Amino acid sequence: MKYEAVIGLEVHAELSTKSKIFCACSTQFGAPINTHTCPVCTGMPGALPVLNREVVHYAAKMGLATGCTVNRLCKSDRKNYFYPDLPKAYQISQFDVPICENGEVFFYVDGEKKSCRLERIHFEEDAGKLLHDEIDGTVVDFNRCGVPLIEMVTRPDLHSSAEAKEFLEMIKTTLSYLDICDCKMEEGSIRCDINVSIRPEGSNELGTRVEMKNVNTFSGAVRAIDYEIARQIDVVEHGGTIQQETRRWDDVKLKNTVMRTKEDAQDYRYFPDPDLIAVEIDDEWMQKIESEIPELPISRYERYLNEYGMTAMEARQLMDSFAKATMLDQAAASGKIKPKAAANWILSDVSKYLNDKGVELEQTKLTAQKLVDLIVLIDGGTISGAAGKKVLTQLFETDETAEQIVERLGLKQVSDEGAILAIVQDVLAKNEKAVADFKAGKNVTGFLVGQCMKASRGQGNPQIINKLLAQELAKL
Amino acid sequence: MAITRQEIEHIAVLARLDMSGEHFDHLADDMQGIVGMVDKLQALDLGDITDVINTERKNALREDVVQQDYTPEELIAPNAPDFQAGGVAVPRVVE
Repeated sequence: MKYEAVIGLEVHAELSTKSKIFCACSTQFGAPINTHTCPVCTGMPGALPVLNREVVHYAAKMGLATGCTVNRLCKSDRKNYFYPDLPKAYQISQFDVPICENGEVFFYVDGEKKSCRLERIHFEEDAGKLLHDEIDGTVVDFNRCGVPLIEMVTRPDLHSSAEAKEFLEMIKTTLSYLDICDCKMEEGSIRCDINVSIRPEGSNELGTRVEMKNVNTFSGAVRAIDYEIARQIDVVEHGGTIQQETRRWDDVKLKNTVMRTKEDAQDYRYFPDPDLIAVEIDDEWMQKIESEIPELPISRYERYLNEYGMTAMEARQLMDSFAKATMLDQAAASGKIKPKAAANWILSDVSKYLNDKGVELEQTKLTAQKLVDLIVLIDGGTISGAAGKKVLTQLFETDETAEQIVERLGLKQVSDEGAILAIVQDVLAKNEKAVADFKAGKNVTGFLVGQCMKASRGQGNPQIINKLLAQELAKL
Repeated sequence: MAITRQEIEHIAVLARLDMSGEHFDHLADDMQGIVGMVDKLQALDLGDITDVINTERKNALREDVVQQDYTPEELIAPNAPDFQAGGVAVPRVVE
């Protein structure tokens, strides 16, 4: 029998606020143990939480960017459970009235547009970290306690690991466009739990679902989903039934194991947190949030495909980087160059420089204006493409304009036909053997162009050299 | 609503409490009292108030500003039964 997988995700993203969600401790990653703690985030008796305004702002931003309804009035609830990384023995989260509901995220899988609905987005606090290598036992580090998270819960709309991966990538790209998460996967900035069930192809009923925890990378999500689908099919094919349970994914051993069965499922006993009062987003605040939503990644992607004539891969590479895509759009908006030309520079030489140096575009001195000037100089024949590459490396590092760099490095291309003709004639006079070879029917053009370039100290316009050389050779 | 022994056992498991049999009876009485109080609240006639959120006061929010007033030695050490390597030491937790 053929089966269809039904997948839903719960994605947690750490928000890049400076301070924690309910206290003024820093959220910075990697600090020495417990140096970012206070009575509030360590759950000391009597300490009272006060909600960080920016958390509400960021969560609502993500809601708007994913087509959610933003609830103008929401509240905080306590989710109760016991674990050493949770000092209050409850997590402050949102239960029946989350900040955002009913969204939809669009993405492409192999050229086909798909979507996955979002049931809700809520804000909550992260738990601490258990360190097992420090002592003979476990040490609890509360630095991460109270770091703000948003949890995005999808409907079960995904049907393969490939779809799940593209959905997750789109979530990540959207978070980076909104500048509300640093998206550092290696620091656990985005994590997800995965719900998988299978059903006979064509069926509309939902099978028993299994939840998988401990998935920290998108490639790990793909492996975990593929494994679980295969496991469930194997169970069913051998006459078994799927048990509702929580399983832990082990991305080293590439398998999952039972963590909790239905019988000992968590019972979180949610109730409204009496320490926190309602949050209301008024019209003025809402307008401010709306004004900060940039053009979304999928819209850029489709524009690059349809208006700029890029390949899917080019459009995707540009979409993935907010800074690169923004530079392209600004360059295109100048009206002085072809967008495709700017895209080519950004995807090739600019990207190569950034990779080699291990820096981000916004850390360099390259601007859209400088890039446009550079392309104009090349298009107008002032400098050669090769010289352009030299100029570009300088544009990253200096405040000079492209023209100033061309001037300083003496890269201006000689396009004066009289001057080039003199060079061509001189080269022909000095290379009797090549001329003889030419007369004997050999192809020596490449060699002669090279000699002319050398004689012009690399500044001769190659097109004009080619043209004049052909003209002079024809005369022989 | 009567509290059963089964419910108390369930709550004990959730609360990670190891309870012996003699506790159950007086706990059942205690909890019955608490639940009875909540039942009274539930029975109140609230008229047409259906809100799940109390909006009498709202938006006690703080600005996103960092302030660090404590060191782990001041905050954690005096409150931890066992303080090692800058943190609370607990028995090895292996999931």
